[in-house]
Amino acid sequence: MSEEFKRTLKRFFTNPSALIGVTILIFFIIIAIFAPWIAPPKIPVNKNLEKARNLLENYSEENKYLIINELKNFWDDTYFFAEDDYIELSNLMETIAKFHNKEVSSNELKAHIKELTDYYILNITYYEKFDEETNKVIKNLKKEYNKIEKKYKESVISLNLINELEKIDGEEFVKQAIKVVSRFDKNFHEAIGFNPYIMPNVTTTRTPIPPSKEHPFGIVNQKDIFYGVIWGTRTAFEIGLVVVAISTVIGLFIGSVAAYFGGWLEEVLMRITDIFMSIPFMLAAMVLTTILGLGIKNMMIALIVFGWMVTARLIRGNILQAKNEQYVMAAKALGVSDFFIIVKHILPNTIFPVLINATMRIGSMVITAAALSFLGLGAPQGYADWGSILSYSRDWIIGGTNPTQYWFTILYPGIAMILFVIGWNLLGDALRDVFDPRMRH
Amino acid sequence: MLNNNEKPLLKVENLHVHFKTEDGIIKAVNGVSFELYPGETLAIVGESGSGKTVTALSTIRLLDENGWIEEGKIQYKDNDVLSLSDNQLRKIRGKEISMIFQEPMTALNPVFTIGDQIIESLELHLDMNKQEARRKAIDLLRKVGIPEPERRIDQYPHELSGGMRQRAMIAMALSCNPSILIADEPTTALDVTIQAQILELMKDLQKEFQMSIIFITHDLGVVAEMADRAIVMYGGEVVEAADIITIFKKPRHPYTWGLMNSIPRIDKDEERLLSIPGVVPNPLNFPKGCKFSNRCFFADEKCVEENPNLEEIEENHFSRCWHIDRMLREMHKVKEGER
Repeated sequence: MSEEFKRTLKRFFTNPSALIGVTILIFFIIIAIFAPWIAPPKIPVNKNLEKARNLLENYSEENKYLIINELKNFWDDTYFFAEDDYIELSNLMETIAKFHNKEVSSNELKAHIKELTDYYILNITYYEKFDEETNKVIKNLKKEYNKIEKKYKESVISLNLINELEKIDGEEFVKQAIKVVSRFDKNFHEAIGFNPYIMPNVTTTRTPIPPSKEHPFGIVNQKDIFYGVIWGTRTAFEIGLVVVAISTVIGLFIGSVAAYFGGWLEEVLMRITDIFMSIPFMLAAMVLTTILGLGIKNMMIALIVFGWMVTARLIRGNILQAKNEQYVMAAKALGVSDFFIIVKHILPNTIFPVLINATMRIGSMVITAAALSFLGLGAPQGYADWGSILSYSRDWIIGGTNPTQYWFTILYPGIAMILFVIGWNLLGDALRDVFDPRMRH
Repeated sequence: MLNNNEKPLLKVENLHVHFKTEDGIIKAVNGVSFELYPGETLAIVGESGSGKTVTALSTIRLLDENGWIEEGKIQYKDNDVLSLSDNQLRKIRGKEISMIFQEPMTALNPVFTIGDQIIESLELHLDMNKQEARRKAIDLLRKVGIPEPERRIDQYPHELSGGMRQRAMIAMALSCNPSILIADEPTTALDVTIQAQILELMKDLQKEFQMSIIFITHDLGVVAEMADRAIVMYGGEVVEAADIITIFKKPRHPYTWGLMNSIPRIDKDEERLLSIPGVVPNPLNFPKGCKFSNRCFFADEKCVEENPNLEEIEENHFSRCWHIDRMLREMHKVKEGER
């Protein structure tokens, strides 16, 4: 076995397309892993925390109360209203519960919501939309309550931490204080909704700015293309791997159930597959994304829903073929059980085309996702995604004084995408050549 | 007949096997009965579509999904095969009754080494651990005449020649020391020289392992070489059954006689071979009476109307024909006429 494994590895690494494919993919994986170092995001800092950190670096006894003061200031800024908000919303929840039990009329509930919106605890839309979409508003209010409850609990924990700090001195204090500061840092980022995948604006000029030392790939729509391409690598992997993995599992399940059980079940499943196949993929994905709402997650769901049919057909056809092979009959004649026949004899003979197909689909999924983003259906504004950057360049495609003036807006994200797809395709090809024993001579 | 006083190992009685197809129900086997005694080789002879393979597969209930055993009784030792549960049946398959197939390339799983496939069966039936099983597998490969078995055991089917593959297949079938080996045209896909070697090997192994063989073939040369007894099948029925010398020297059914005279013989100077006219009809429209009547040289109205029974015409020689006497009278004329 190990001898065979060695031979397989050797075949794999002497296969030129495998080498190129693997090199490209390793390159992208490294970029994805080291994105925070290659293109460091501009992490917003809280002034209080920053001061506290500086004071901690040159710690002395007198500083202790200054540091605690800064932390308390941070706490005041972040959590001052947390308790009040929590109490107010708890009351609102009670009113909602009463409303469900018909003890409170809808007008009374509405009045209660108005009270909270007047204090700016809740967004005014909850009041305005109440009559139109009562159920949805109540559902969202519950979510709001959960959020505030979480914030309130965190505020209690944070206050405790500060009080604990006051009681200790010396090195122990420094050690604990550093921990507290980094915890507060995280809370701060959560509170302001910081996300490194959102490309920051780096300029106020609207027209694209050509590559410079500071922004090596140039700037489009005020965003640094370099930052977008680097962080977009993570998005590409996420979309490709998740969509293909889930849709392949769905396809495998449907296809193999159809093939094993046969009869009317097979007929029904395969006709459903046909119906899904008859809908143009891009159109279906576009419509479903629009229905579900924009965003990466919803786009991925749409791609999964319309991406499993090829796998289902492939595995079904292969299993039907393998089922009639003589080696299956021979295994039966040897007394091997049905389960082992499926797992040991049929699957290894049928799974390779599916794996190869999946590998190649990872690349093309990224292209499809980019197309959806290009149409404005995928990633949200400013999200680091190759398709989104390309969609920015749409406005500059005819250039200014000459058509190639803004070449960099297309070239870099385009190259990244092409390399990514080529990498997966070469890997898929090589896997077919190397691992499928029937392809050997 | 050999071992006449012994108890039969396998007894098939009045077996009927049907298949459901788009065109209707095909009655592939109609009332076949035979017995297999320990240590003997029984040949089932017939053209494609005569039901010989289906008969053999039925003995371990290895039919395709669309086929079923309509009636009959199959007894292996003291087991009623038709009433066994799937689990009990799996214990018989491979361990007690095993099988080798016509196409060794397709009967071996291409993604596993031949060692894996032999070891699978050893682990399954004999409860061996990996190392024991591997040692035994190497031993088996050596026994079936594969050179350098220590190296070959890790090779894939596609790395072996046709003859080697068939030897590996035989090793696999013999791994658990079965009492019956069903060989479904095991040499048809091989070169003549390899054929001879494989047959020789099977004979030797039969002696060594003390097993019975059911040999399915259309090749009368192979039958003469291997079998102690033969049953000749046509249209899902046994048309003649006897020991091998009787079958060759004194065929008493026009079909058997036709088959015998369609092989070239080196000891007789014949310019032309006799050929049975026509082909085996579609199983859905066999003649109403004797199934062979539309191709028979000696048939008359009676044959078309009524199917004869399988009669014992002399001791241990069975034939299904109305006109054995006429056949004996007229067969020289038929041969002259053909010529």
